[in-house]
Amino acid sequence: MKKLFSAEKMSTHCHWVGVIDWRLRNFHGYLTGRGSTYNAYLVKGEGGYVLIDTVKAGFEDEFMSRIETVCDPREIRVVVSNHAEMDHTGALPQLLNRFSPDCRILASRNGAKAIQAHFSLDREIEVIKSGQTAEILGKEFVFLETPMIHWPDSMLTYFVEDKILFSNDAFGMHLASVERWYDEFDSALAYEEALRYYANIITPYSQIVAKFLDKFDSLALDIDAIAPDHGLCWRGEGVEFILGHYKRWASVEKRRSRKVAVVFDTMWESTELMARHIAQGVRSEGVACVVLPVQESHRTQIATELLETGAVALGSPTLNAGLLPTVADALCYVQGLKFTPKFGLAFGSYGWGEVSVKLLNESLGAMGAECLPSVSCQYVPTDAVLLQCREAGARLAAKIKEEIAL
Amino acid sequence: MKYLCTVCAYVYDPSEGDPDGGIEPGTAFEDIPDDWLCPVCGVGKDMFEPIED
Repeated sequence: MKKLFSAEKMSTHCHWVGVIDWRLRNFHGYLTGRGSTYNAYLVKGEGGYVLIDTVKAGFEDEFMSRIETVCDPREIRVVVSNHAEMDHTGALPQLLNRFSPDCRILASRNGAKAIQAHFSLDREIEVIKSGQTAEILGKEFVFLETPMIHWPDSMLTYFVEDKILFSNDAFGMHLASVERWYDEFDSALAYEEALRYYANIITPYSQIVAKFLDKFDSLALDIDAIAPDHGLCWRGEGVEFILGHYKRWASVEKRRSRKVAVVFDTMWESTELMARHIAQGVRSEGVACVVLPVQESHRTQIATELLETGAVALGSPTLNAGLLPTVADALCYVQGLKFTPKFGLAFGSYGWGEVSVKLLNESLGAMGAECLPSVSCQYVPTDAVLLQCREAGARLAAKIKEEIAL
Repeated sequence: MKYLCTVCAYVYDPSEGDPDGGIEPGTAFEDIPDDWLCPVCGVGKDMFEPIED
């Protein structure tokens, strides 16, 4: 095989040997507009190498090519699998026979089960002990189980000597780049992708993240770098940067800002007109507002905007005594992610049965939002209805100013 | 009373307990040790909520 791709040295004993998926745009429904990487790392031990995670199936050649610029793959004597999801394990079954014949595989208890459920490997997977220091090929590692950040099997691996935390999907982002470090890249773009990743993958587990971060602080690990399994790695000030943002995102109170998201779809532009006047009402109170027509805004973008918004105005006309399916789709996604806007406002037009606002209020209520009086109109909004919309938007904004700190 | 794991929707049923996790059938949720973890997703007891039978 031609050695087309190279590894990148990350620290004294560690190389990045991941792969770059420039063309990825759909990660199980998550719109990955800037592609992604599947990061894996080689740690040089005594008499061999430890491989931290692998890559998605289909990228074996690039992966092996990078490994071969560091060592003979048969020198890989241990694979640590931090996360069983197939973008990090998919290449393992095919490549295992190219590593050392006695190559060990280490994973969390749930990871061992999940890997076997996926691949039925013909060797035993050794279960790590969480929170304890283990010596592997003469190097010290600490494994930390992090169940439901974001799968039951998820764990982190800390490499003591080089002070690197291999964090699997935590602190990651979907971003394809030739750069490996956050400080080498456009910081605003990197922040946006880290935020998008949190919003679309981690949000439902925020309570667990918050508790983990407290525990993590108490461990007081000396960390020079955090190396996730997707996107850029964090070092220097970047470490505090991403940890700080995770602390904020993990807290519903801290992440809520004085911002309204107006999310809607429309049949004959009546609900759209209502949405626009609600946005104008929000603006009249000097509060930030983002307008998201659902057919034109991918659900990934809607979720990203909702992470930090304090209130949601949700609009749908009534179709067949129900919601427009596009709005129901967006709701299904954001409810699954357990977003909890503090305030909600339902609005929409109808032809005969006035159903949509009732359903929208139920959904907003189920998300834990305090619902303000909704605005509904038959067929086409009159000027009086549009005035009601502006007033409703202004009320929503005023509530936000009262209840959400700057 | 049964308890629902709010993360993964596993239901703890006291009549069944969680024998693999060392919880005998007949153990009330309140009597489960605090370090017990959801047998499906691994989160702690505090992520559970009581549900009607």
